[in-house]
Amino acid sequence: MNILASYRQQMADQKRAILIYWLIIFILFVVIDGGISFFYNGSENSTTGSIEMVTLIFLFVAGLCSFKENFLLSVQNGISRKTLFCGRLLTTVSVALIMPVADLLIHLINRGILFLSGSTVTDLPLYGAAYCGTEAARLIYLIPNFFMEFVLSLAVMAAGYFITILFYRLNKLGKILVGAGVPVLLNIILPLLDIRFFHMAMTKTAARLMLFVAQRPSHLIITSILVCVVFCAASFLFMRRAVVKRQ
Amino acid sequence: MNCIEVKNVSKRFAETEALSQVCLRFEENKIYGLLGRNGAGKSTLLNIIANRIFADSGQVFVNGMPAIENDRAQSLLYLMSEQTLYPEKMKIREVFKWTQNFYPSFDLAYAQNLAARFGLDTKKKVKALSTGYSSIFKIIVALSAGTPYILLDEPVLGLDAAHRELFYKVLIEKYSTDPCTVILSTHLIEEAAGVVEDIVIIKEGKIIQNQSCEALLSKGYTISGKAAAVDDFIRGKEIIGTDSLGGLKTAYILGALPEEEIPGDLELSRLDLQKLFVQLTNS
Repeated sequence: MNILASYRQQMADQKRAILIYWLIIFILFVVIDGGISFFYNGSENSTTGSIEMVTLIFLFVAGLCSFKENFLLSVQNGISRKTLFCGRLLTTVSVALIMPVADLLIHLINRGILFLSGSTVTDLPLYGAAYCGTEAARLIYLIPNFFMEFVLSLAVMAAGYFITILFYRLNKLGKILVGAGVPVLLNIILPLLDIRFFHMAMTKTAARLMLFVAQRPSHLIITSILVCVVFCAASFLFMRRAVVKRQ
Repeated sequence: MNCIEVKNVSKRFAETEALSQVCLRFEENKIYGLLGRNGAGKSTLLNIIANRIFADSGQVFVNGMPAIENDRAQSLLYLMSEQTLYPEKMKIREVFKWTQNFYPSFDLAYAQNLAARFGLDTKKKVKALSTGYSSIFKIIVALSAGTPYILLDEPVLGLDAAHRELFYKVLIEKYSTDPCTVILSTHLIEEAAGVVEDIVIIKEGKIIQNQSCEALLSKGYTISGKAAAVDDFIRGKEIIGTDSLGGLKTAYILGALPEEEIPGDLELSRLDLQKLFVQLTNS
C-alpha cells in the first residue's frame, strides 16, 4: 500500500518534467524538422531521427534530480527507505516504458509529415541508425528500437539516480574528491599511466570492450540490464542508511 | 500496551554525545512536554523516533513494533519539525493532497478549517511562507494527519502571541475531541505548562526528569529572604540552585514542603515550571 503511495508521488514528480520535455521535443523535432524536410530538396540519403539519444540524456538528468526531494518528502510522511526504493524501481520501469512509446509516436508523426510533404528525407530510429542503415526505416524496426530504448532508459536512469544518492551521502570533502577526482582520474591519471607503463593496453581494452558492447543489439541490451542491476543495487546500499541532513 | 517506547538509545555526532542510553515511554493519549536547553538532544530523540536519523545503539518501538524502517509503525506517528522537508515549489494545498496520499486518515476538511482560522493561504508555495506561517502550515498538517502520535518539535517557532494562543487552543480542542499522544518540544515553557500533562527534561543527552507536571512541581519550592536566614534553613536540603541580590537570597529546593515552622523573615513559594527547568538544567 505504501509502495503504491510512494510510486504515485514519484510518478507525479516525473510527470511534469516528461510533459515539458515531450512538448519541447515535439515542437523541435516534428515542427522544425518536419518543416525543414518540407522545403529541403537534398539527396535521397538524408535521414532524420535518433530522438532516442536526446531522450536518454533527458532521462539521465531526470535520474540525477530524483532523489533528494522525494527522499525528504517520504521521510516526512513515514515512508521507509526500502519502500521509497521499491517505489523508485516501479517509477523507473514505468518511465522507461512511457518514453519509448512517446518517441515511437514522434517517429510516426514525423514519418506522416515526411510522407505528406513528399520529402526524400528518411526517418530513422536509433536502432536503425546503429545497426541497419536506411533498411531500418521500415515500420517493423520500430519494435526492436522500442526494446532497445527501454533497457537503455533503465540503465541511464539507474546511473543518474545512483550518482545523486552518492553525492547526497558524501560530505563536502567527499563531494569535491569524487566530483573532481573521478574526471581527473579518468581523463588525466589513467591515460598517463597507460602511456607510461602499459603501452596503451588499458585504452585498447576499453575500446575493445565498448566495441563489443555496441557490436550487436543483444550485447547492448544485456550490458544495459547489467548496468541497471548494478546501479540499482548500489543505490539501495547507499539509500538504506541515508539520513535527513540539517539544511 | 500502546505507546512509544525508547530503549537504551544512544547517538553521537562526532565528539558530541547527543543522547546517552535514553529510556522513555510515551503513553497513549497524553500530552508530553519535552524540555531541554539548546543542543540537549530533544530534536535528535524525535528524529530517531521518526526514522529520520539512526541511533548508534538502542531501539524504538511504536505500539510494540520496531520503529526503524517500518512503514506500519511510522504510519502511526507524524513529526512536525523545525526543518521543512516539503519541496519548496509545492503549494500548501498540494501538501495536503500528498499527505492524504500517505496518511489515508488525513482530515482535509479539518486542515482547511484550521488554515482559515490561522489565516493561511493554501494557494501559496511552501517557499513563499514566512517563518511563522511555515510553522503554522506544518502544525496544521501534523494535527490533521490523523495519527495517534503527534510529535511537535518547536511548533511555535516564529509565531506571534495571537497565533501561539490559537495554537494552544486548537491543540486542546483537538485533544479533547480526538485524544492522541502529543509530544511537545519547546523552549516556551511557561506557555506550554498550561497544556502539558507530563514533563520529560533532557540534559546533555540524558533524561533527568520524567514525571507528571503536577508531581514535578509539587517536588520543589522556593525559599527567599535574608541570605543568612536562607542559608540556615536550606542546610541539609537538596538545593538545585540559588540566586542572590544584595543581602537577599532565593534558594530553589527539591523535596516536599517543609513540615517545620517557616521563620517569619523567610518567604516560601511554589516553584513554577520555568524556574524549576532553569535550575535543573543549569546545575
